[in-house]
Amino acid sequence: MTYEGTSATEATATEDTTQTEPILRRTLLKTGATALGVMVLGAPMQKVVRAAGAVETATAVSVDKFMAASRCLIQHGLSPDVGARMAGILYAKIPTLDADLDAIISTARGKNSKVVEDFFDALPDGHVKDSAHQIIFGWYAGVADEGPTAEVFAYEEALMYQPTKDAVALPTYSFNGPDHWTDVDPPLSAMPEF
Amino acid sequence: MVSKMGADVVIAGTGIVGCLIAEQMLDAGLSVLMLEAGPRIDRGRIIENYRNMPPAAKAANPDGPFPPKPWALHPMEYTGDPDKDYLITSGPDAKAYQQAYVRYVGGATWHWAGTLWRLTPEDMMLNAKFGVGRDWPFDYSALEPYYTRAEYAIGAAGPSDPALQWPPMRSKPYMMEAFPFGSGQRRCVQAAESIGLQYIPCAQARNNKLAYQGRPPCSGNNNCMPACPIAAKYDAYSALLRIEAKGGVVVPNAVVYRVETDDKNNVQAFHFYDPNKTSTRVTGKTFVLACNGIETPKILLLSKNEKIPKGIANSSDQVGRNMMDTPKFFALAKFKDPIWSGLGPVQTGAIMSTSQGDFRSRYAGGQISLINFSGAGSAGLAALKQKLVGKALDEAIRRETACTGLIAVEHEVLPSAENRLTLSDKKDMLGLNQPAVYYDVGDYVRKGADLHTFPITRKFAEALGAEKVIRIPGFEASQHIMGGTIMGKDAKTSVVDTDCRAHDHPNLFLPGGSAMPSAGSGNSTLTMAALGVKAADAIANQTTRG
Amino acid sequence: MNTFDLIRVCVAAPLIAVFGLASAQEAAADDAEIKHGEYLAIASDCGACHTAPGGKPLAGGLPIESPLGTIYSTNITPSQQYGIGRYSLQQFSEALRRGIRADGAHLYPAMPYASYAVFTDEDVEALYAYFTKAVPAIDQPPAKTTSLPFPYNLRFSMAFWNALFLDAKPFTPDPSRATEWNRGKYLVDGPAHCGECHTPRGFFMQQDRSRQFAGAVLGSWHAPNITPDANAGIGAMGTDELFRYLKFGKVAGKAQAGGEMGLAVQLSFSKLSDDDLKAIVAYVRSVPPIGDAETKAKFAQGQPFTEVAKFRGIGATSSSEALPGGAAQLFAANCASCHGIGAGGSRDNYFPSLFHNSALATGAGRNLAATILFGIDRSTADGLAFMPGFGGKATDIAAFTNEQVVELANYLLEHYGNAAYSITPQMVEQVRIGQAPKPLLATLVDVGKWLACALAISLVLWWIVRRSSRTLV
Repeated sequence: MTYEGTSATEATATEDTTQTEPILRRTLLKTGATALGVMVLGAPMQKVVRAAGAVETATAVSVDKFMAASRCLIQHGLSPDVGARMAGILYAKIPTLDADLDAIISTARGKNSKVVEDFFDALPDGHVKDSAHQIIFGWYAGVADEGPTAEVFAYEEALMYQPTKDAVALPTYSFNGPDHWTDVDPPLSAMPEF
Repeated sequence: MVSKMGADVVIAGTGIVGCLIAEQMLDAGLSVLMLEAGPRIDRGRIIENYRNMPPAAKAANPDGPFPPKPWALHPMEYTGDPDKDYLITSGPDAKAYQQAYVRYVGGATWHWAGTLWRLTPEDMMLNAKFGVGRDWPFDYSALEPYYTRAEYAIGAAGPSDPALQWPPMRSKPYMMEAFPFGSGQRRCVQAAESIGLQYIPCAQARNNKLAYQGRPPCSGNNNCMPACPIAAKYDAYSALLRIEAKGGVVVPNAVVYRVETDDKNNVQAFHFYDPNKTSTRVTGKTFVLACNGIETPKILLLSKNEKIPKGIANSSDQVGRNMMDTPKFFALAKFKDPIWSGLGPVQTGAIMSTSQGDFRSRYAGGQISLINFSGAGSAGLAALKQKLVGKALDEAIRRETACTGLIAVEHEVLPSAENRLTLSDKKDMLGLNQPAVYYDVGDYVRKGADLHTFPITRKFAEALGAEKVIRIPGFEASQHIMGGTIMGKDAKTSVVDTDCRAHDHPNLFLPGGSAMPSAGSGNSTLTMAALGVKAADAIANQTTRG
Repeated sequence: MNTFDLIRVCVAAPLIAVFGLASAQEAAADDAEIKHGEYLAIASDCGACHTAPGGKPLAGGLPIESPLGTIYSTNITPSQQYGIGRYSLQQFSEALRRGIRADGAHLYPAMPYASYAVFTDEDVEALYAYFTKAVPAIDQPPAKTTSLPFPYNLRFSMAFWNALFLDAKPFTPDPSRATEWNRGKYLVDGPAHCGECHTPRGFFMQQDRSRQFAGAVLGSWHAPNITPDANAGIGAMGTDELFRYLKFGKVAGKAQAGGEMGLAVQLSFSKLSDDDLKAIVAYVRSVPPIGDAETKAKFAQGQPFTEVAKFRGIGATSSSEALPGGAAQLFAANCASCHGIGAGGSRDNYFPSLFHNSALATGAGRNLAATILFGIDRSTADGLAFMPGFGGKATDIAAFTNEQVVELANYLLEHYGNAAYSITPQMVEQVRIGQAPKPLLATLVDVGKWLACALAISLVLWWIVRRSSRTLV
């Protein structure tokens, strides 16, 4: 996972990635949530949160559904706290998000998918696929868009720093003590677990 | 007695130069008042600012973690629109003077890389040796003791082997050993050797395995720029508690806007505004403007009046002229095998010998360095842009991070009266003119890049195993701001003397980059600091006497 | 050369050879004794008190904040004028083992003579040889000398204290125990004087032997319970782990040495022989376990945790001081670079994990406050272990207020340590100035002094009134 030390979240990730049953049937694991100390911007923990800045057609934010779709698209440990924040932002940004999440989940289920590659190409082009890319972008980059004023909801937990965490420190977070980098030279093939 | 009203030595600027002088004055038993235009912000806030920035903004706005106060603006992301930018640049190389510096307590050493090159003897004798530029009014051996004192004042880690030192002319060893290279930097050593050059370790103002001055040793946070989260890298902010413990008084949010002189051309006072534009007059015996190379000439020009129509210290008309930097081009290289940038400090080694040679009579030399920033963020964004998913996405991020390298090539620019800082018509919230700089790196640099440094850079990259080398067009700023109050023996053609004392005003000192008569190709901070220590000797002498 | 010369040479040469050999042997024995004395001086950690920070070795001047006032260590170099240069072996022994100076005055038990009393005669001689022959004489007095307030300045009162509490007998091994155990007991009771810090004190500030090693507060730091109790003590630490703790100052996922113990590891324990360290471990693990209300091992408390998503990006960039994320963000901003955003430390454990770390689960959190304020600075064969201080001293990298220390420490204790602990600004202030809670004795003495003054004044007034009323009559 994104931070050091064994954690229940890593346990969550492992459970998520054991391929004994389709991704769909796994539920939001409360133990993982507890270990991360769920707190969503002062609001009590709810499964359904009102979308921030909602306009005419206010859509109820379903964090559960968002996490389920995210787990179809990404086979890594996903922080429910980050998911809750991202869900709030994307529900407000994408009017069709709720339906897109349903489409992602049902496409994955329809293909009996274990990994994203099993079903991604089968996603309908247009807003469903766009939403899928948007969700992946958010989890990896920790922001919802590439603009310089995008709202940041993850840095330490942003996934794009994970594929190289065995070699390259996340800036401002060294992973070892003084002069540790002298012995670091892993091959490209040694993709870390996360 | 120190009060908000005055002290023996009044220093505007709390960067490395101001803080070195302040501490030396306090040790000599003089009272010190430091005025800083900007706020005093602690390290934790700055680090959280960095972490809170969107990844795209980190490259576009490297000083994003230092949002300026409206009364003490410093450059942020440049738009090129004079109505939006604080520093307005123009000329064929306007982009190459889009400088970054920090008007916070601690100054620009918050965000510097910590690289500690010295000038070489030839760097200081361009005119005598190559018939170009200006000579320093003293030679390397006169500056060397001050280099040493500056290094010991901030903690320098460098090679003990003279074959690796730059230059190998040292009166004392480095107090900490040079940082070890990571795997990619080690390959640079071999690659350079294979083309007959030497990739040497940078001396760095960073604690290596020692807790010098109570600051932790570097553990490779790779965030030197914009700010070290643990103060392993020297920044002037880390000297503040020590300065205050010795009796120094530091006043933040105090924007010096006027230097007041009397009929005998002695400086009587600095005047500063607080954020509400309330003015305070500060008296003292000796005055120092150590505001980095843009703000120091700006204050001098702002201080013009009927008696001194060209501005303070400007009988030579050289204040604001001769603006220099080390204009830089980048070469992006893609490698087949991992080069793993981002291991350890952000700049750990370079080829320096390419800055020296007889060709300097015809074109510029330069420094070639594989810079060592983590590429994970930009690799991630690039892979996401390709709309990859799943394993392909992860593998692309890993490959792009590991196999991309950025080579920075910084050149020596010659001082030119046309490269000039003036007061623009735009005014900030305190009614003070914002600075403007016209900049042309000159054919000297353009030829140097085309004929000398880029061909070598390409060979170097290929020797490193690059499959692709792309030179990014144009030149960029390196934040090594020099020349605006140039040093010389002749008061008609220079602003300060060999102690950085203004020719025109015997109790005004203008130490730092703005005093340097030549730029060299290396990062300028150590030379600035050495000039600060040299000025400090003179300030202490004359203030104690007076 | 004539015959007489030849005879002289033939007689003299063997004599010189024999005596020369004897002197060489003597010199070698001298050298060995001095080296042994030096080793004992390191084991006894004389330098920790007798060398002031930045001062010359063993030349005194270090202030020791005792609950009864500041005690300054003395110059114990062989300086004739300012040190122990004129001490005979007997006088040296008296000072070391009975706390009596050459001039007959008593030493305060800040000098742990009550522990050094167990030194064997042979070891005292070796120490004497080292101090008088090998330590460079520093002919300077310490910057300050001890002058405690009344009545503690009455040094002769120590005679009563010694009569009650000083067991002035050199160590004799227990034949029923192994050699290693006996060696360990000797080292622990004597040179390493562990009880001086780790054993709580009784009413007269003597070591409470019934609670040996159960832990005590000394100035800024809490010397923890080092009995084998599984929860309150170090029972959960294995033999090898305890050995490594003494040799390197840390055990990953359990504990590290800070404050005075960090210094003791650096100057003393890390330089003892492996066999001596093992002996110390063997003895310490054999003393009676003493527990308390704790039901969980102090090494096994806390867990990985982060709530960074609660505040990451909130407020974007700001030039205002206040971090919106409260204590969690205070932690991220100041601590997480080294200790990790989930407080798991670095992978190589150079930076320790904060959970499963006894510093956050012992002594009511005192050592956590002390570590935040003062940092860690400890060198062993493993290298430098360093954490900067955040208490605002000239060499620190930040200047936390007491309130900030409380906010941060309580957050750390809640999530990574003993969540029942809660520290206060008063405790932080005590830690900052190095003040232990005042012993009852001192309070009573103070009360007694005031009462005595009040009584004296009343008596004087009564006497004056009596005199003037007599005059009137």
